[in-house]
Amino acid sequence: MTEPLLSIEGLVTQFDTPDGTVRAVDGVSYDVYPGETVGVVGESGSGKSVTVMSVLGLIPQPPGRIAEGRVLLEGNDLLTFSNAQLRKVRGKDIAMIFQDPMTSLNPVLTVGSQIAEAIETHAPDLEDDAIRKRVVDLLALVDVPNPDDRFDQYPHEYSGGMRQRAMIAMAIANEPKILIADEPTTALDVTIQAQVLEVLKRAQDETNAGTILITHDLGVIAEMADRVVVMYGGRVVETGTVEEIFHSPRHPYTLGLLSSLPRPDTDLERLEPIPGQPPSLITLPSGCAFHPRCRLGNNRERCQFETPELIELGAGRRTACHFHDEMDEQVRLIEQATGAQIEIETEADDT
Amino acid sequence: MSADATTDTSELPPLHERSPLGTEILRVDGLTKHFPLRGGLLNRTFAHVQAVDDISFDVKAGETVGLVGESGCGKSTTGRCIVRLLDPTHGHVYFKGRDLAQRTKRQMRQVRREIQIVFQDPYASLNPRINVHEIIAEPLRIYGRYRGEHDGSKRVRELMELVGLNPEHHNRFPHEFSGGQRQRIGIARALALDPQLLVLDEPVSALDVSIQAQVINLLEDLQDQLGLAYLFIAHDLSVVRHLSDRVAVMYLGHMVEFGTTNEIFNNPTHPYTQALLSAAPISDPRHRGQRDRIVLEGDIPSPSNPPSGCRFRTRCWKAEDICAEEKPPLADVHGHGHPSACHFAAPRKVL
Repeated sequence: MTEPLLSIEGLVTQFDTPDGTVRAVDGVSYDVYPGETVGVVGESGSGKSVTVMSVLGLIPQPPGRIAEGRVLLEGNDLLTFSNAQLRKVRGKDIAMIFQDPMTSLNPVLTVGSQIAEAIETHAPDLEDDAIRKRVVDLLALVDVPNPDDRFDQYPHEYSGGMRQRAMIAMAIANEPKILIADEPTTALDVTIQAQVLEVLKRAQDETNAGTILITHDLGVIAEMADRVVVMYGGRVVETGTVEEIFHSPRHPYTLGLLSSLPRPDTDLERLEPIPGQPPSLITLPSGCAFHPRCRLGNNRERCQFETPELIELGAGRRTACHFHDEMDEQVRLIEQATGAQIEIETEADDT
Repeated sequence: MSADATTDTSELPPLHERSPLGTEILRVDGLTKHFPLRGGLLNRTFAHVQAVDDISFDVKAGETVGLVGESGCGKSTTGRCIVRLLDPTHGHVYFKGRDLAQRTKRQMRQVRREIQIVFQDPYASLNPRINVHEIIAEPLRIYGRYRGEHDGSKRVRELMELVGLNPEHHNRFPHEFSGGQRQRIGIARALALDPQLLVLDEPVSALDVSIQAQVINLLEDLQDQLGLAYLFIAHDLSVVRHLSDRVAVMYLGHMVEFGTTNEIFNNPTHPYTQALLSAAPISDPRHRGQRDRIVLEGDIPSPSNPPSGCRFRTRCWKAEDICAEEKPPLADVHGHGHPSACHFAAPRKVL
């Protein structure tokens, strides 16, 4: 495999709160390669968004602080960049698509002028006519109908799905190397979500950008991601290819997410939820943060007192569980309870 | 079915006794709700939002009917008209043969204890100033069922246990609970008067996946235990499939298809149902690229100025002249086994 475009290495982001210091991101590492989509999953408060905000230098400091780690974009550590240097990176090398297109577009400027501004900032010598043409082409690429007329309209004249597609147009305007999409379809209806995901794929093909797709929706991950990073309590607990994560999970939290999920295409007898609730970062459990909710750990002493390291099981395949070698059995148990949901990849695949 | 509050009710099933499982307890007949749009100097009505337009369906004792559709389809308005939080513009809502739409406020009181509602937002639907005990006791007090501190608190404790809350937490306030627990409080309050029908308006949409599964399992258990009927309103197709016995699909105020869960998910005949199902992400990467994906063009039209005839025709690939001229009836015209409001209804496997 080629060199990664972006490497997050041992990132720690803390916030000072009245109740003490919170480690929202606690030693997170993952890589993004050209053209691939890395899906980042986790529930509220797992640190998936704070990680990418740290990468982009968008953490308000104070109360936030990036305490440790490196973020290498083609070998250069973004965390050492000045604000002026970062401004050259944001929107050019790394572009971001946010969840809510209504609040991330300026309501008093036309959509076209906002996309034009994104281009002009990084290419000040370009002629106005050339910029306008480029913006109209971009709007056409993301399926905005009548792009020439739509250029001069304001965000409120766009529908929700169209606004999100315009945001994608803006994000790819400077052909970024890295595209970060933070819950890009969460606010949208399912038929509109399908349109936006299709456009996102097209935008990625067009630019060959490495994409980080953050979502809590495992369905979207299954449709879009090549590799998956699962986060819990500010840490990475499992990584693998999308097939590995969905068909032979090696962390009980990942399995818990999968067995909690009803499916549109199958009748399940019963869901197997994860008991309890996601931890508060202020009072994160000792040892493995997942241990109070874990069936596999079953309150074994090691889980309570020893934080599991993220260990390598194979190329790009990592898990942070002391008892990951018992996962096959665990998958079988859950399978029985839910009425066969996750099929284990067997050796038969090799023959 | 012409009985209303003013006619003789002696031949109707007793209101406060459980109906045998499988007998009809709710019938919605031609329900219509239009909201006036006012404006200008004299605050005159210049248009109507046709939120719900002439829909009919029924719910039987002990079953779950899912009401599914995207934003603005009128599913929540339907739920609110049934419990008379909104007054229907036209049409009838019969609960055990009694027409709720015609009842006065005073007459509604008798019926309200048999039909309760659980809301989507567990943060907004609980009074932050009173403790959980008082929240759950309130309906009991209103109906004179809180007989003395001893018996009253016993009933509140029972209800808390029933929904999986620790009764020792009865003097805590809503902000001390997580989203999932608050939703349990809402359910306990709805169950306080021992109702026969629960209207569940997106009860799990605001919750994390693992917590969502807990609440879904709770709803299933309660239904088995208490013989409740559910009208389950949701936009998430997977959840609807998992919980429902029958499913009604709505689009822009019209009901477009109604059938058993198996008929709707495995043999959908309305183009909108097919598009909706094909857009639902499936949490299995092996399905990627294997599915018959229908990506709809355009956005949902405004309900204040809906298209003539079939409201879906502006986004439908099958639309012909007749679709603009004639509203297709919700009927099994083509003999597919369940009603579908399309002139060209035909089965298509999309999942």
